[in-house]
Amino acid sequence: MRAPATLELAAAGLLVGLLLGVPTGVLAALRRGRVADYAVTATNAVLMSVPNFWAGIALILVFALGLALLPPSGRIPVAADPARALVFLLLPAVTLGLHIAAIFSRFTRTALLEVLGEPYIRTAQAKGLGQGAVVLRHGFRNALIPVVTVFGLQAGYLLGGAVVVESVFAWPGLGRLIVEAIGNRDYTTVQGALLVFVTAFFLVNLATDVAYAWIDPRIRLGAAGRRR
Amino acid sequence: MAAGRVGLPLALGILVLGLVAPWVAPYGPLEMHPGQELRPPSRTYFLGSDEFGRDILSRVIHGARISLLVGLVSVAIGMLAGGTLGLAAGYWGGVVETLATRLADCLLSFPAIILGIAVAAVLGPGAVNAAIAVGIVNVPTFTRLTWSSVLVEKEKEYVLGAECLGASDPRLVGQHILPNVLGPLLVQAAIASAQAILLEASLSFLGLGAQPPEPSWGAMLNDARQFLREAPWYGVFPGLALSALLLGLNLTADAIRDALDPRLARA
Repeated sequence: MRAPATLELAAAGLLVGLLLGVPTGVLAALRRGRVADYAVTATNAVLMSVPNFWAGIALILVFALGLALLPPSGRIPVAADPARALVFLLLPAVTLGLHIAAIFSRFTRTALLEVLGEPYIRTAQAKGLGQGAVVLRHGFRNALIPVVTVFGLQAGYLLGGAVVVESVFAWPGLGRLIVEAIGNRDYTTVQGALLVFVTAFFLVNLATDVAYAWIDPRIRLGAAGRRR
Repeated sequence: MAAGRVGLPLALGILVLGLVAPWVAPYGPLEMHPGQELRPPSRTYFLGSDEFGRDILSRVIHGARISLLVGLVSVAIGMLAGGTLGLAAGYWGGVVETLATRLADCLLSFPAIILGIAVAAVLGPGAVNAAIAVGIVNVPTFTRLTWSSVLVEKEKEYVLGAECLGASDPRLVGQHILPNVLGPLLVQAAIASAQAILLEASLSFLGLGAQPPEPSWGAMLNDARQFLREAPWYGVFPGLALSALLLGLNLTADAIRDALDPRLARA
């Protein structure tokens, strides 16, 4: 019952993190040492330090109470009304996503800088490829490996962060269920919900390992040296 | 390097402010002023007052003490328990090693906050219990780190030399191996303290850590949620203090890491 709400929030948070983090990381790497790079790096340092529950409170203060643009709390199931569901999802998703956005941004920047120093990038440029093709097809794809690793590591943050963010926005997910159950001394529910969380964490880590092979064909799981 | 120059003074400044809180805070953290509830920031209440007419500035300053306490206690627990387990596992190997590393793997398979919530739920609420919960979350990282460092150190010649001179097990571990694995442990302690303070604040925010009327930043933010419309300043300042402290600690940890690993600093 509660799991879909948490899943929805975690997926949306991840999406926000990717959409904000990866482009800013690429931008910072391409503009290395310039104003844009410093701006992105400094913003990342701040975003990584702001606790998600306070980010949530700050966003509520600005967007829900100050500007009255978005609802401060609650959830509407996507099936009931997709447009309104998105409106309710926006603030919690951004709250959850900001921290991962900073981490994705930082790792994308580092990975891309490292890759752009490789000889095959010079080869691609020497072939006369445009800057866009070089960065995207040759640079970015190879920079993806560490970014995927980070995703695996952040899966725990996504799930754990969801617990806290759900409490801020009265989001009816598994996390709030745990907190409420602890308040009611309902330990069976706590155990069950914890089990679901840890299983999910496990599955995401497994999926991450599989994703390596998909992104980098040189990494093959199991049977060694099998060719495509 | 510039990051460390900003970060260290920021973190130390807030922590020192917490240490001298009773002398610098304008009011006591629990001192209520009836009739002065939820006042906006003014000359008398620099950062406003809360729902019991308590001065928010005084509570924010005193809140640093709780963060400091939790940070110290939990990192000490993690380092002592994790370090001992790691030393034993790395030095003796065999069953001890299997047990200790498997235990660490087991604990590491929980996301930190989930494990914190589980332990806090078992121990019951309170600042000290939150510190213990956070400490337990810290144990596996210290175990693995110590274990892997000991594995490297114990193969070195100086250990063999000491052994040949007839040094006993406790002497080998305590006098020779421990001082040489301490470096990475201290770096990890700096990193872990920021995570510990964040975790305590999160637990307190969820109502599982420090309890009212204790002036914990997380608990204050939890209370502030009911008054966001009437008293937005109540929801702003405790979070600002917490974010500033975490930023300071994170920048310091980054600077330490860069200083110890010149390869990373270039990237």
